[in-house]
Amino acid sequence: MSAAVGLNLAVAGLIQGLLIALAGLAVSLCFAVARFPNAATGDFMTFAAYAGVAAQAWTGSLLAGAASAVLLTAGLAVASYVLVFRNFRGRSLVAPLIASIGLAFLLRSVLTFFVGFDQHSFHVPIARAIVFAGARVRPIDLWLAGTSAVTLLAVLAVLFLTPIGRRMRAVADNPELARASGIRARTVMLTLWTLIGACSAVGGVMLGLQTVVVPEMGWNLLLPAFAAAVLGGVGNPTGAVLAGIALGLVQALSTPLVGFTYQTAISFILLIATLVLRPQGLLGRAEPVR
Amino acid sequence: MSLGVHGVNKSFGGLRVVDDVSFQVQAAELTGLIGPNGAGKSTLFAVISGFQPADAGCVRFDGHEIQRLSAAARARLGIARTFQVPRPFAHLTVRENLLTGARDQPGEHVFNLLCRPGVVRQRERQIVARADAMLEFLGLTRVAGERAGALSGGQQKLLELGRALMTEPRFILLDEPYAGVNPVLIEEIERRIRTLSEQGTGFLIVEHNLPALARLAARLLVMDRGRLIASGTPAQVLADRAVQEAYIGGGP
Amino acid sequence: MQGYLTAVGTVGGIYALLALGLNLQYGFTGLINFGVVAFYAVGAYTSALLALRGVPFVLDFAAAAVLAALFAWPLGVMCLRLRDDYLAIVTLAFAEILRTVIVSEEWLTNGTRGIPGIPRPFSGLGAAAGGFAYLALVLAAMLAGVSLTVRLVGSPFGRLIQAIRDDEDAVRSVGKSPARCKLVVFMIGAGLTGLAGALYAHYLTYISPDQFVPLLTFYVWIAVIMGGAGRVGGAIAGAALLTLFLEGSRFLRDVLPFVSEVQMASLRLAAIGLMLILFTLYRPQGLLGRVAR
Repeated sequence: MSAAVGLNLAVAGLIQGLLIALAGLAVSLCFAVARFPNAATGDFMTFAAYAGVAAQAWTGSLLAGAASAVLLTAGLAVASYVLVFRNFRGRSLVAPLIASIGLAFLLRSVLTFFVGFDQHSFHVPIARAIVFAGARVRPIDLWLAGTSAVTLLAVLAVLFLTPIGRRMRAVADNPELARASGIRARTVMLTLWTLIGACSAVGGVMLGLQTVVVPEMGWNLLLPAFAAAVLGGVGNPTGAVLAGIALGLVQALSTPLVGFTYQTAISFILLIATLVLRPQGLLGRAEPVR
Repeated sequence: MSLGVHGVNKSFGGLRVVDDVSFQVQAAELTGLIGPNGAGKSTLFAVISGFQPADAGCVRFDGHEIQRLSAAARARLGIARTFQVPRPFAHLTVRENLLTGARDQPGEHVFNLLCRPGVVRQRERQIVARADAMLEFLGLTRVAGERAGALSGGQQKLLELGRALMTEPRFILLDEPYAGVNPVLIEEIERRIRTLSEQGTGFLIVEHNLPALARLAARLLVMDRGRLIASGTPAQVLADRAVQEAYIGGGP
Repeated sequence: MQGYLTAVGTVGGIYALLALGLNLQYGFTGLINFGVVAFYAVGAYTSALLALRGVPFVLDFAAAAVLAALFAWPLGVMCLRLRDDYLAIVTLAFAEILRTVIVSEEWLTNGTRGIPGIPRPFSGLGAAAGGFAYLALVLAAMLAGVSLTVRLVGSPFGRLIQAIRDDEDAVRSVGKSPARCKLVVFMIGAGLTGLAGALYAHYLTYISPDQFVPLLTFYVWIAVIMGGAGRVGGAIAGAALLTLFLEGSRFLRDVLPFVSEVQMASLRLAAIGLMLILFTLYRPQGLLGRVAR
C-alpha cells in the first residue's frame, strides 16, 4: 500500500470516524445517564438529514438548513424523552431498548411515508479537491471534519466544564445519591436529551453532506455507534468519541486487507472480541453483575 | 469444620470497606457478626460467599483456600448464604423456589431429560418430598403454590432460608434474617436455627437485633468501619468499651 | 380463497415456530437475542443449498436446525455472560456480519442474486393438495416445537432457566451455574429458528439476502411481546396476531387504493414501531403473559 493510498484511506477513515464518534457520543450520553442504549439514535440522524435538506431547499442556505435540523432534532429528542423514555424509570433496560427500536421504526416509516425511498442530497458548492502530500481531500470533507470535531469538543465541554454537565455526570454516576443531594432530575434530563438530539443532528447532517440522504442512512451507522459506545465504556462519553474515531480509522485502513464489504464487519468483530476479553469495554468501569 | 478469613481487604473506589479482617468460625459455635451500618458486614459476606472478589487475603473453608472459586462452586462445597434483601425467584411458586435449591437433579441437564427420564422422575419425587418437609418446617405449606413474588417480606425471608437449606449446606451465612420480620416469626426462625445448629450446621449471622442474636449466638464478632474490633461471648462483647463507642458513634 | 388461507396458515405457522424459539430464549430465560434473523438465514440457506444438491428433505430440515444451533454455540460461549444490553448489541452485530457474509461469499450463496428454484416437498401433488400438505408439515413442526417447549419448561431444567431469568445471583447462591443453561437454551432456540428458516426457504422456493433484514427479528419480538413472554401459548397467540396484522394490511390496500405499495410498507413499519413502544410502556406482559420486565 503506497503512502498516498494509505493517507487517502486515513483521511477517509478519520472523517468516517468523526461521524461514528458523533453518533457514538449520542449513544454514550444516553447510556451513561439514562442507562440504556438508544436504538433510535440512527433515525434521529436520518430525521436531521431530511430536515436539513428540506430547510436548505426552503431557505436556500446550507447553514440555515443545518441549524434548523439541529433545532428540530433536539426538539424531537426531548419529545421522545417526555413521551416515551421518561416512563421507563425503575424498570429494566430491556424495556426502553425495545421501545427505542420501536421509535426508530416509527421515525423511519413516517419519513418514508411522506418522502418515499428516493435519495436526496444537500446542495453543496462544487469545489476542486485539495491535494495534500499525495492525498486528495475535498473542501467539504475539511468542513465535515472541522464541524464534527468542534461539535464533539463542545458537547464534551458542556459535560465536563459546566455546572449542568457536572450534574449530569453526578446522575450518571449515582442516580440515588444525585437525587438525594437535590439535583433536579427534570432539568438534567431535558438538557441531556437536547444534547443527544443536537449531537445526533450534527452527525446526521454531516453524514448527509458526505454521501446522500436515504431512509436507512442513520440505522446503518447505529451499530458502529453502539460499538463505539460499548468499546469506550458505559459511562465514558470521551471513550466513546475516541473509540468512534479509532473504529473509523480501523475500518478504512483495513479495506485493502478485507475488502470494502467487510469494512463494517471488522468493527463488529472487534467489538465482540473486546467484550469477550473485557466485558466492561476497553475504557469502561467494571459493572457489578446484574 | 471451620470457615474463616485471613487478612481480607476490599475497597470500593478509594474507600477501604473491609480492612485486614481475620477470623475463624467453628461449625459447633453459632457465631454472630454485628456492627453499625456501613461497617462492612455485607461486603464481607459477599467476599466469603464469592460474590465479590477480595483485593487481598484468603478465605478458608474446612482447611482449604477457596478465594479463587466462583460463588456457585463455593455453594456446591456447602457454603450457603441468604441476602439482606430477599431474592426469591419471583415468578416461580414457593415450592418451585425450594426445588431449585436441591442438589443433584439430573433433570437440570437436557441430555438427561431426553435419555434418562426415569432417573429424573425418581429424583424429582425425592426432592419434592424434601421440599414439602421443608415447607412444613418453615410453616409455608399453605402458600406452597403461590408465586414467591406475592409473599410478604417475612415469608420471603423464611423462603430464603428454606432455599438455602435445600442445598444441604455445611455452613450458612445469614444476612439479617430478622429484619422486618414480626416477633412471633422471629421466635420460630430462632428455634429452627438452633435445631439446625445442634444438628451440626455452622452459622455466621449478621443481625442488628442484638437481644435476639445474643440469645442465639455462642460467639459474637464486631466490625466497625471495616475492621474487626472485638470477638468473644455476647456478654463479653456487649460489655466492651470499644464496641459501645462504635455503636454510640455510628448507631445501628 | 382456500389457497389464500393455506398460504396465510403456512406463514403463520412459520412465525409461530420463530416466536417459540425466541420465547424460549427471552420469555423463559431472559436472553436478549436481537439476532433472530441470523439463525433464520442459516437455516434457510443450509436447507436450500443441501436440497439443491439432492439431499432428501428430512435431512435438509434436520441439518438446518442443527447448523443454526451450532452457529449459536460459539456466540453463546463468548457472549452470554455479557449484560443484557451488550448481548442485544452483539447479537444484532452478529446478524449484520452474517448478512455481509451471505452477500459477499457468492461462491456459496450466490450473493445478492439469491438462490432460486429451491425444491418444495409435496410439489408433485399439484398446487392445491401440495399447498395443503405443506401447511400440514409446517403445523406439525409448530406442534413439535410447542411440545418441546412445554416439556422443557415443565422440567427441572425449565425451572432452572426461569430462575435464571428471575435472578442469576440467587441461582449461583444455590450452587448452580447460569452460563451452562443459557447456552443450551440459546442453542435450542436457534435450532427452532433454523428449522423455521428451512421451512420458509422451501415454501418460497427463492431466497436472497434482502429477505433477512433486522426488521424480521423485530417482527418476531413484537409477536413474543404481544402474545406474552414466558408463556407457551403467548408465542402462538403473538404469531397469530402478527400474521393477522401483516395479512390484514394487505387487505387494507384494497380498501384504501390511494395508498401506494410503498406507503403501505411504511404504515406497516410505523404500526410495528408504535406497537413496540405501546406494549413495552403499557402492557409489557403482553396479552397473555405474566412476566413483566
